[in-house]
Amino acid sequence: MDFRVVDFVRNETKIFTDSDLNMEPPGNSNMALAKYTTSVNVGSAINALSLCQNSNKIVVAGRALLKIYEAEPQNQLKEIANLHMGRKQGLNMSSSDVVWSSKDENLIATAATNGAIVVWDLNAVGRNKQLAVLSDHRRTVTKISIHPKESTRLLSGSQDCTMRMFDLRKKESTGMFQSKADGVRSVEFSPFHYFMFAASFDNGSVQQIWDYRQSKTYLSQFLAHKGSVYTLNWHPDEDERNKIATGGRDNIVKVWETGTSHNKQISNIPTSTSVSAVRWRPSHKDQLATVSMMLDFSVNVWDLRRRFVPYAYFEEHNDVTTGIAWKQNDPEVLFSCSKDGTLVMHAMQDAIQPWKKIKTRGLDVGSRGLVLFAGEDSNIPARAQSPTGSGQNKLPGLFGWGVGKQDPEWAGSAPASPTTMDEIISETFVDDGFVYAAKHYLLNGPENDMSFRKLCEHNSNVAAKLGEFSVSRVWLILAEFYNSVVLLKQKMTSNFFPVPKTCSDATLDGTKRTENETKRNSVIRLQNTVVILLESLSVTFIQVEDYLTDIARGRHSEPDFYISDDENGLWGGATSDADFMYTQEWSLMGRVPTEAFEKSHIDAPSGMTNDSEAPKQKIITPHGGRWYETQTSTQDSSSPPTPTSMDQNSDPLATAFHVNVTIFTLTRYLAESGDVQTPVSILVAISSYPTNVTLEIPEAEAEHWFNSYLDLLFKHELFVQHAEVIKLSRLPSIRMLSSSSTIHTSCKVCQRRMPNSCSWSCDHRSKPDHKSPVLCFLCKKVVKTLYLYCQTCSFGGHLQCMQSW
Amino acid sequence: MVSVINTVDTLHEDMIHDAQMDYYGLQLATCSSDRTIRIFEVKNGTQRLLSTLQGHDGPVWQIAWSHPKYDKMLASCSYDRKVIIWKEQDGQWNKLHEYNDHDSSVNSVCWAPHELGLMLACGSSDGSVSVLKHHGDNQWEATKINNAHTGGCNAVSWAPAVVPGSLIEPPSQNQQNNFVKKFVSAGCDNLVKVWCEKDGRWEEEQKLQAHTDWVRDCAWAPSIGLPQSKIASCSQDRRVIIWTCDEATGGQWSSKTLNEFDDVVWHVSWSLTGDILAVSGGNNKVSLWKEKLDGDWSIVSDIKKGQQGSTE
Repeated sequence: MDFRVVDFVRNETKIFTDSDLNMEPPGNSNMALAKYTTSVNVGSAINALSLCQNSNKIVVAGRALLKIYEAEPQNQLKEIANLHMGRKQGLNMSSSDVVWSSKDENLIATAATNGAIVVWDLNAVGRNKQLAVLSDHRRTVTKISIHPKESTRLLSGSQDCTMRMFDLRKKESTGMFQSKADGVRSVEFSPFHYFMFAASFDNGSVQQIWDYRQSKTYLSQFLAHKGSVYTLNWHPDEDERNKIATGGRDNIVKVWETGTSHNKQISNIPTSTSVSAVRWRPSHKDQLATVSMMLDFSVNVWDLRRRFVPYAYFEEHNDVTTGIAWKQNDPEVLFSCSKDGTLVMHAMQDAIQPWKKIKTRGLDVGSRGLVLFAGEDSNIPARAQSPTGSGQNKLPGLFGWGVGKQDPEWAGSAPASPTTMDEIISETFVDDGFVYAAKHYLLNGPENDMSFRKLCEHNSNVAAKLGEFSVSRVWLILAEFYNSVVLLKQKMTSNFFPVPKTCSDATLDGTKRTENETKRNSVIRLQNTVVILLESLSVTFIQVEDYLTDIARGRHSEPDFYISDDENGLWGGATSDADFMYTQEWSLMGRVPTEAFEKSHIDAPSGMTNDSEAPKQKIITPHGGRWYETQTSTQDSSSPPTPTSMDQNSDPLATAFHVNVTIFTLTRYLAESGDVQTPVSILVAISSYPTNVTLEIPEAEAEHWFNSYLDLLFKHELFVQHAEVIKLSRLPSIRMLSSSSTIHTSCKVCQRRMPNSCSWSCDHRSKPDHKSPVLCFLCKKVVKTLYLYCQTCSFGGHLQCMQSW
Repeated sequence: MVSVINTVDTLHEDMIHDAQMDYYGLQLATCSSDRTIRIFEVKNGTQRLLSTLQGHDGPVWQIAWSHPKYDKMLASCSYDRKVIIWKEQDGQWNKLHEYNDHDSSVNSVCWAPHELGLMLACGSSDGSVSVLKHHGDNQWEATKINNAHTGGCNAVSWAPAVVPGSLIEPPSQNQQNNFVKKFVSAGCDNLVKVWCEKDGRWEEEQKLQAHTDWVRDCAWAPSIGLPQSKIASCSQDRRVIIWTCDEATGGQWSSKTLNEFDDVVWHVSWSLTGDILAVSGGNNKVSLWKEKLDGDWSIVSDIKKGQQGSTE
């Protein structure tokens, strides 16, 4: 029996498609045209809609409304009939639901809030097309359904807790089904199970499946939702004939697999508002559309494989959407009606598809070089076909609609997905450079009988090996600066770097230029290194490169300066000299560190304000005209805008260049950028030599660096290095660390004072953990008096033992 | 150099959309389609679930940790059009504030640099970007930029508060407290826009046009005060573009394509020093990029999930 019916339906479908094709003019452009979203305002709030069998006519019903619209091929909705005419309005006309007969195109039934069911015959002659009024229900009829095969069999569900079967030919009730539960919210014939229908109820917890031949009791019932189950829908596809979707006040859409013995929930979709209607999308086994009872006016289309975000949604309505229906032979079209009085024909291609905006991967670069990545596990296959079919999907195959992990609530029977879909991987840069550097830096020059330059070069190599090229440069600069100052034996007392002096001297005497040239070059080189250092610290390598080329060009252009200088001759000698410029910069760097960075023009055409002012000032000077020309020519050759600096500070005393402050700036910079190792190592290395070079570092700051570094060394268990740093430090507070001792006057476990000096244990000596006294690690005897121990490794013992050791 | 040190099974029921480490790198927050945010303690290669935050009615797209200066706070944005600010107290996470003035899914949240105070930018699919400012006592003032991006905003990222070039040219006394108040947003209009605040209003400062498809993510590089500002943006057009702006060149932004990938690029993220750019593309690949001296970008490492990273 069943089988034959199914066959029949198949043929029917075929006929529809044929007629559909005949109806629509051939041609792709027209096909595409037929899929645009279009809407029509019907005049008043719509409560329900229904499509006729071939889906080209739509009936809409409301409180005083019953109209029929036709979907025209030209993408328009045209009103073809208004059944709400005449004065006979009454309560029978206040429709809560409407249904179009499945087979008979002229038969429509409406359900009224007063309990009446009105049957309409569209073929009837005259204005009154009412065929029958069935007023068996005592309260509001919430839902009616017409049998998919027998177009005269109508089922109704009502708030009076009953469902009734009507024969529209007899115009009378043929059967009644007691819900034994609560008001009926929804009834629907199964499209494929000939005798079966499902009903849902206000008390929500029960969803019943009936065989209408047995009016006594239902086939099965199960708990579906918390609160009212407002809607249910059988899947329209034959392959999915056992699937029912339900939606209710608990904001959840649930999908059930109905069977003869038991009904099983196979999926759920948590929506954000209560669900007033749910409709499966034809020929899509995993998609359904829902509308909400309040708050959310949009029509959402969900995909069960991506339960948490709608697959698509439509936002045409601006009041509560009351009904939805898919075009039966075209799943790309969805009709919806709303309290705002509009009937909309949606085209799926116009839907907003939020998943397109989803970022499916998370990425974060955290502290400590950690890279975090969150994504899907690759062994979940991406869906081969995009849910909408090709063409609309912008990223085919990329957006993996992976199968989510099953809800634990009902995962029991289903085999849990073995894959961990969501995993986070952290990657880290393995960094043991610190330990390596700590072990290999040479800090005590004199002990190793090394010159300061050698020591610096060694340390520079160590840093270079670690790839810390900036640190490596620092060491080289240090060697450059202090080689003449820091000697194995105390000789030098000057804190001043000699080169700038000679430079400024030289500028006054033009004959020394060649000699000067080389020195200048060395200064330039130094500056290069400093700049590289700073740049690489701030890690913008591109600028370094730019700068290097600038410097290179700058060198070429420098003779121009000389020429102009000589020609003008009056520009205060040193002020316009390129060499002086550099010394100027150095002095600036020494005095006003941050400003000096500016002057070292990390970017060739730096946007400093004085840059623009500078040329103006020059024009004002007596020799301005020509000087300005040369100035611009050099700038054109992309020379760094160094000349600008001379205008502000032409104080010749500034030539005195204080290296120490520069080094201080460097070390402080390093320390601030998170590297205490280098500054401390530099300080220790310098102080290991018997010089009186003192860096003007505030003691507190230096002490802070030392403490941090010592702490780090301790944590890495580098006790030897720890001790060495303490030993070589010149800071009294740090040195103190190595020269302290402790006398135990209390139990080391309970902190209780020792009873007397003769005892080596506290009163709780009976307890095992209090028993162990302080032992000398050399002679393994109890230390009763003076306990001397290393602050670093905390080994210690008798003073005598220590001394002998 | 790069190795996978840890894989966390988050027990989320659906796809994870974002994962963020806190300031100290001790706690990890993940957010998922399953509407929850999970907080893990990550220690010695192991992790422990500390809490699960429930409160959103839709997939949670992005999360952001606040600077520890302002206690432990987490901002989250969701498909449910809400932005929730969570606060931890004695190990308990509670909703501190809920902002729901967006008309569509909120796609991105980003805390402003701590110097600017407690401020949060949110980018939404409704095309607007709102900036929430905390006025103490849990009073939040929202400023909304309507129509920031037609078709929706996908990402927001704040500029570092340090004035560009301040390392070289210290700001004069009178502008000492003048921090940069700018952020960058990316949208479905294929644009990247730079916004700055002028007299309490947010104005579009720059419109960066080069992408040919939706811009998925953008990130302003951290800065220590060099004159150059950098923004990375990645797009559906499979390209990552680095935008640079030099104060010296008059604040003009120039673009440079980092690379054209085989697949859509989802995320870009700078390292704390702003020198390494992590790019996450399709196929679960993460690649790290570093700028070479000649201005070209070279790949430092290419990690595919579950593989040992290959190093150049």
